[in-house]
Amino acid sequence: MKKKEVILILLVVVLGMMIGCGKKPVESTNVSATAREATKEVRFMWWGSDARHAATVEAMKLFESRNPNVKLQAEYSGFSGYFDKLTTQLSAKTGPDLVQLSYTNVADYVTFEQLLPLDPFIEKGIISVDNLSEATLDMYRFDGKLYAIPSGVSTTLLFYNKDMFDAAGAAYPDESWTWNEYIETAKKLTRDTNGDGKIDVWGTGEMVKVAGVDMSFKKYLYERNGSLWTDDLSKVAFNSEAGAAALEFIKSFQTMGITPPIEMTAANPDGVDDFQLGRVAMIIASSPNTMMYQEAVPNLGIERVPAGIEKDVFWVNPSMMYSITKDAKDPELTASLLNFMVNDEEAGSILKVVRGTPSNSIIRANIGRSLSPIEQTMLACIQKTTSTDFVNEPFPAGFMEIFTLMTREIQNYLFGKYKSARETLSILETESNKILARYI
Amino acid sequence: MKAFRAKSRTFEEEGWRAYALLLPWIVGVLLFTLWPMLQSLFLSFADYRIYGKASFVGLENFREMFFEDRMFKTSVFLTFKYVLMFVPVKLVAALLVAQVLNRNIKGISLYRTIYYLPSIVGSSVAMAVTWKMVLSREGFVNVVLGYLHLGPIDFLSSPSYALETLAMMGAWQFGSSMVIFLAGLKQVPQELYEAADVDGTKKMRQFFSITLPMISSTILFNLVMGLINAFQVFTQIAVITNGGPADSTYVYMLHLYRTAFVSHRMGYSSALAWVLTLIILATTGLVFLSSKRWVYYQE
Repeated sequence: MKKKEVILILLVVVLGMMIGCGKKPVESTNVSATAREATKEVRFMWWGSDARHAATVEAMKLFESRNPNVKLQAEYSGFSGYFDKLTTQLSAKTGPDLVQLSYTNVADYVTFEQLLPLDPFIEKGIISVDNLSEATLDMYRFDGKLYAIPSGVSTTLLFYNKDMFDAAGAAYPDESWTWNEYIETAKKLTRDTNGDGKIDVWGTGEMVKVAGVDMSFKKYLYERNGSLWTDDLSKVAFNSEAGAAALEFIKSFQTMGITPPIEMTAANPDGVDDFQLGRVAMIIASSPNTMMYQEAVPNLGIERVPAGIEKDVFWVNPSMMYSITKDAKDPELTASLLNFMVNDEEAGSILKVVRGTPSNSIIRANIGRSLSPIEQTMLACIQKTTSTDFVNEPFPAGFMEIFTLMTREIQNYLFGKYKSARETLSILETESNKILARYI
Repeated sequence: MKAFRAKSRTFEEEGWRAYALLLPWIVGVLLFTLWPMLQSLFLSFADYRIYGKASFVGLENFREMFFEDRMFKTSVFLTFKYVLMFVPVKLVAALLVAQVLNRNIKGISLYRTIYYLPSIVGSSVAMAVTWKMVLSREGFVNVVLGYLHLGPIDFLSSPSYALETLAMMGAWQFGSSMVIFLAGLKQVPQELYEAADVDGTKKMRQFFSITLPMISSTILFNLVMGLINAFQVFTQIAVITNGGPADSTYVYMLHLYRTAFVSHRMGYSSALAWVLTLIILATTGLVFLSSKRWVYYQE
């Protein structure tokens, strides 16, 4: 009797555990067995804002309607934590099939052998690169193999609040601007608008964090003839006169008082900047922010970023990259989805500029007409932001980590934790070189 | 007494029925706590970059930690600073509230529930976000300060206040310590207070000479639990300041998390985890040693 009871309890427990761990049937019952076998699944993972999610999901539905036996799975989230999640999945061999990467970190994943080379799919005619920029593709060739395809191009632009310019009686920016005009106008825009004796509108937003160190510090460095890395990308080269001048340039906006106090900016909620909050009249930020800014600032103006005082430096970056992971269950099908996202005209008209200005030149020309006036201004400004007489440097493996480090240490410098720009750069050099050494 | 013995005999006889019922828990501990702990102990002597295989490097991780990692020192310092602010404030708050609630007032259970509530909701991400909003420049606290012609104070975005603010925010969740104190206070024999009243002792004196010694074992328990929690502070700080501004809230667990999930150095972060375990063991060990001098056990 007692033994029977124990066996009964054990049975219940074990059964309970088995049921708990068991895989639930996924398919509905009205699908016939053969159809179920033919159904293929492709997982696509990306980060972004609501506009990007909605457009991407719609484009994926179009792909499904053309390929009835394919079921697409969308996995999307915001940017924070995205790469932590991706890395964890890949290390557990449960990564997505198609993945959106940043233009700065493809090398990281190539080093860890997590991506498939795309050349075989190009040879088989599954992916076409005919209408893509060869120079950009070349940045993503490692040992002669292509690992990623850009979804579009983006760059930093000068966004400004026309109402604030009008109220201060300042002239709108134009493409002849250098940093001198930018600073002079920012001084004029910094005002006490409600007469309580305290400044409440500043000329410009912070000069580094919104654009990201890869587009701000790097630009100010290049304008002074500096470079980020040594030629073989094994060490950093920014601990130089040019680097120090670039950092001091960033800080000078604070000393001049034409940007809000850093304690105030640091208190902003995640993903919200001083420009959206109506605290600053101008901001240097990346072009995909256009959609976000036009909601917050009704009278939005866009212009090219000011030219350098010593040297003009303009360039466009790929905005995001598409790659196929080593975990892809059906690499060829995944490749055809990738091709669809980049080259299909109907998909292009749905996706518009949610991942930057499309990299495919034909789609880029097509969508121009369907964009809102401000989006067309953005497009025109990106066209004006063309490379001149300098060579852009590629990003070494480990850059994501260095990016986090630089963002943090430059903020420390702005908070006055380090005495000089040179001290900041020396710390950055030591720590960055350690990171680079770990990836070789 | 007889009944108790009879009960325990049946328990012995049916012992393995109990084990059968405990089985899910035992399996859980072995599989999801003990096994990962052993793995992390092994990894702390290895170089393991999440992808690929781990390679044994001896004490290299620990050497790097003590001699090369400048954020290790910063984070240890900041964590101790947090602990020293958080633990005393939390204990004092819990004891004071427990003392007030240890009376027969109307609706006392409602008050107890209200004061316990922060401990249930307090550690959630949603609560952290709410605090961030309440303490922001446009938030409730600064608006009130504005009426008084004070501030604004950058509670969370100024390096001089951020860690202090977070410690107070943590101490706000004193509910569970309070409940334990309340139980302790109920155990203090009433006749001691009655005798003191007869002698004409003031209430304040009664608190220090009767209440505190009588609940010293409860204080020890709450102190140890508070220390263990404080050293592992993570969620609130990760959500609210993420180590900033200017690294002023870069506590130990944040360093551990970044090493693991930004730098993907699982071996090194396992080593960090074991050093934290040792720090907690040493600190609580010291507290236990000192307790012989100040804890009074009845009987």
